[in-house]
Amino acid sequence: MFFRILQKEMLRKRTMNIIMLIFIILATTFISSSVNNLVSISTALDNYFKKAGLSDYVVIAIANEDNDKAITSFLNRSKWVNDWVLDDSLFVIDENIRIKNGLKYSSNIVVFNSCNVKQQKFFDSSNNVITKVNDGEIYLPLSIMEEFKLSAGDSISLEKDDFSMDFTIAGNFKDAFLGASMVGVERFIVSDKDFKALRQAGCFIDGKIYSIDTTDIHSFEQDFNRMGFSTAMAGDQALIATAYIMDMVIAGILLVVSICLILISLVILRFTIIFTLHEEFREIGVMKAIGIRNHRIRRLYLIKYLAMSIAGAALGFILSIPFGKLFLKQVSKNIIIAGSAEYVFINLALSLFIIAIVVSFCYLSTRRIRKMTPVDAIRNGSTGERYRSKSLIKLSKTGFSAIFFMAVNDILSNIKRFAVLIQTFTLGTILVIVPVNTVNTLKSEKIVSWLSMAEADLYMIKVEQIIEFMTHDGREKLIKYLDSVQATLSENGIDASVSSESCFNVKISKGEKISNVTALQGTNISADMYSYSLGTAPLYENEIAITAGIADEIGAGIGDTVIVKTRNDEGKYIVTGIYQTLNNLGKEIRFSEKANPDYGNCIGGLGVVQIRYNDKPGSKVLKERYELIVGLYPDYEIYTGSDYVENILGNIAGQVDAVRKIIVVIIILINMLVTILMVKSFLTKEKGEIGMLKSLGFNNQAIIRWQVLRIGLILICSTLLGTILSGPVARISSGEIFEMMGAGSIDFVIKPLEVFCFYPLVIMLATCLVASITALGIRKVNAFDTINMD
Amino acid sequence: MVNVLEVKDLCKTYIVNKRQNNVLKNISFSIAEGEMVAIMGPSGSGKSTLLYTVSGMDSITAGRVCFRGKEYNRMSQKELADMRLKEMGFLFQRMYMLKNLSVLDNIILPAYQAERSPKKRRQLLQRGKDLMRKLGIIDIADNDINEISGGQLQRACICRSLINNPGIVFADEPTGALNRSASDEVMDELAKINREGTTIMLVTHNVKVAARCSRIMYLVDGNIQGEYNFSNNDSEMKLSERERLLNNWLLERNW
Repeated sequence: MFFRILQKEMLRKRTMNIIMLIFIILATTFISSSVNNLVSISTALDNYFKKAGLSDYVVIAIANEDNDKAITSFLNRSKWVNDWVLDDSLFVIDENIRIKNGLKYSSNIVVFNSCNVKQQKFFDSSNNVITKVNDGEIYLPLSIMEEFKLSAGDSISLEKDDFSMDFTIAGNFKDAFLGASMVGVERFIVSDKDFKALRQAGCFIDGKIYSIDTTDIHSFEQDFNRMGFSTAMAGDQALIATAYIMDMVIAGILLVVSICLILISLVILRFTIIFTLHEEFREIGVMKAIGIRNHRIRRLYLIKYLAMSIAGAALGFILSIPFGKLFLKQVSKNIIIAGSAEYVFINLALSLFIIAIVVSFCYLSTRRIRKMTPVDAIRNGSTGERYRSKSLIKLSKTGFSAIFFMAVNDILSNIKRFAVLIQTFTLGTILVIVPVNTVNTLKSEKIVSWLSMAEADLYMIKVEQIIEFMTHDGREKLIKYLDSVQATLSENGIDASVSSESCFNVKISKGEKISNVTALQGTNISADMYSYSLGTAPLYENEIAITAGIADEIGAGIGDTVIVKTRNDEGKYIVTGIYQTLNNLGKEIRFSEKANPDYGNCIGGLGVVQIRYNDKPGSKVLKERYELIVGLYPDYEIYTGSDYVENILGNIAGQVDAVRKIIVVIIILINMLVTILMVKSFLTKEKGEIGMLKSLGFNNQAIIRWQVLRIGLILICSTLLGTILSGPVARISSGEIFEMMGAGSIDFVIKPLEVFCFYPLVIMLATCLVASITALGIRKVNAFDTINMD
Repeated sequence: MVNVLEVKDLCKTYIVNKRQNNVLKNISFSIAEGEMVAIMGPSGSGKSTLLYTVSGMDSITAGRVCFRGKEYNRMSQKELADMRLKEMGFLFQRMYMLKNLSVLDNIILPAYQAERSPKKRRQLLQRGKDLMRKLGIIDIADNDINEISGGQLQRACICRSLINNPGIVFADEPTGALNRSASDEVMDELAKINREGTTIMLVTHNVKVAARCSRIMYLVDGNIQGEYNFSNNDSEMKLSERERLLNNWLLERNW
């Protein structure tokens, strides 16, 4: 008898049971995969570095007998060093690299290594350790493969003077030390034999990579910095991790997505359980009336919900693994993420958690059965959720049509009923807008100013040209060179100012605190053309501006005197301004134009030659000038502002863009699914009302309009709410990451048409379309179904 | 008198679990304008099905139903809905109204759906109030429906059924959920409306309710087994006398 009632119960309320089951599946899928992703992402870099065997501190230096001896001796003597290894490397200038289809490779420097370095392990795209590279083969970073649309089997060659060596691409690899997008250096790996051959050719720069394990990283770093060794790059794991920050922008967005999905799931689950149990009370009353005992009734529902939650959670658990992987795919392109498979126990635990939630909710909600009389149950069956239906507006007092009034009144008089939709749509809007604004910010030319440069119309790059200015009289040469470019442009009818940025490796100290930083100096451009978050631009020879990161690190503020030390001299400077930059991981200082740093210590330039038109040409003229300048300087890589940003930031904007697309699709699907299920729930619950309206002469279209209008109105309000909330959410997600990179106050680039019109419209269209299609179900309701009305 | 409703060879068949259930079998009758007709019969005889099919709420399997010359078979669902909205009124046993609307808003809802122009809506709003006043429930116009009694609610339903000035009112056990005094009040109102010219077709088990009608059709197993007509002279009769006559007639049919 008991099981016959249960069986009938399952079959009779098929629609609601299916809806409940789907929501349990959804909740399990979202919660399991999201928590799994939260754990995976938050531990990702630590695990990756551990897996790769990355040392505590890594130093790259150009081979130099004296310098090498000094570093080796220091490492052998230092009390903070546990162990250290040395790997030989080759530094290759991008000019020397040719891609198969004649494309020019451009980066500052490429490090060539044998695959068998002592420093760390490399991984292929399937996360297997690369133990061997065949002779004649080469592994490239994924960013290069994607940028040049290369695939395994394509060729790449290394050319310098009379030397030439061809390689076949074996695939892409993951590099814990130099694999981050924000590291300006890229690494290619080849076989031991090919690496020896390249070294023996003697036409590339020899380099050394020191990997050091320490007992106290901070003390070691302070000692190392004080020694004043000549290094190209030096940093600990924390610094290397910061270089992955751009990759973590994606991770940050995914974290927000995961948290939102968890919230959506819990809200949906709560609603469905309340809604379904509310429907049961009439039956509970009848069972009580015919004498079935309380505990038997309660057991019936507990078994029913236990069975449904086990089935739903099992399916949700299975789905959560591929769903989680789909999200992690973008983040795991560049790093190794443990992901769903390794943390499958999390999914399992959360699936059990969902079962526990459903059953305990059912247990608590049916607790009242004991106290209820059969009549109470039949008449007032309530689950603790009180829906107060009170008309807040009057049809007779508004100018609304009957349908519009019914829709508005339904929402206003019982807003709780629509809470699931409001929360889902609001969170969905936030989830779409935050990545869209982040992508637009990353792609905007505005980001140039956060890369320690003033905005320019064109950027010309030629690495070999930079080397010419790395001499003691480099500044004079640079000024002459810039004048010659300006004259050439003028001769060709282009009125423009031409400037350049030079970089130096310096140490900045205040008291005992010392830090290795990159210093910048503009030529033909005044320091006040850059923006400063505090103070003013350095105008005199003994003035500098420092980033907030450096200010924190050495404890310096505006008006303080700091010591800046280059390889062969040092000077005292007054800090006049604090600025923010995404460049050099936020650790940077800027000299005034009047300062005289030794250009013999120059390590490169940003953008090399920046061209700003003095007139304000239209887009047609801009294009013509671009083509003219490309013709005048065929050996240069010439970029517009946005292209230059893309070149500098690598493919990060593209990756965030890919994540954005996935999120948009997922949000639309979630909105559609939740809408379908909610409209189905409404149709089941409102069958009587629909029947009554039909009996009164409301035709199908009118009733569908009523149903869809409610969803549409909720959608409009939620989109507005989501749009308003997306600002603060962006600041605490993407903004936090930008801050960690050195840019504390990022103004997100918001494209109103895209953010406020395009995406909301796409979401609204898709949601209203499914709401309309689902609402077609009212055609099956007959006018005489009025008898089903409560 | 002009016939408002004409039914010819009406059949209604349901298929349940692959078994055919002929609920209405070749039923033919007509209702003239201003008539008040009651359908009686034992439970399961097809009374409510007959009401729903002749009102266009449910489809017909065979036969012909015409309301004011319009044949249902030739009308689309939309036209049928439009006809129900503008030319018919409905009363159910339970007083179905939208819970989150006030009493007055429930009454004028069909009117606002039928009319778009603000001027006509104002007139219909006034009509709604007039009807409520006439039925003695104007004081509860702004109340929520859970704040009023069953009798008041059914009278509000009567107002709603009359709001669009219908040609006919269909009522399915209109007093079934009411106590005796409320039932009498509601029937008094229906009789008054009928005297004012509105045609009424109702389904009832209650002899007292049926005795107020001019004609009673007795339905058994989907067939009309007989009809009882009160003559013009009977209209002067006391209600109790009409009940006695009808009871005797029903007893002859094993009621």
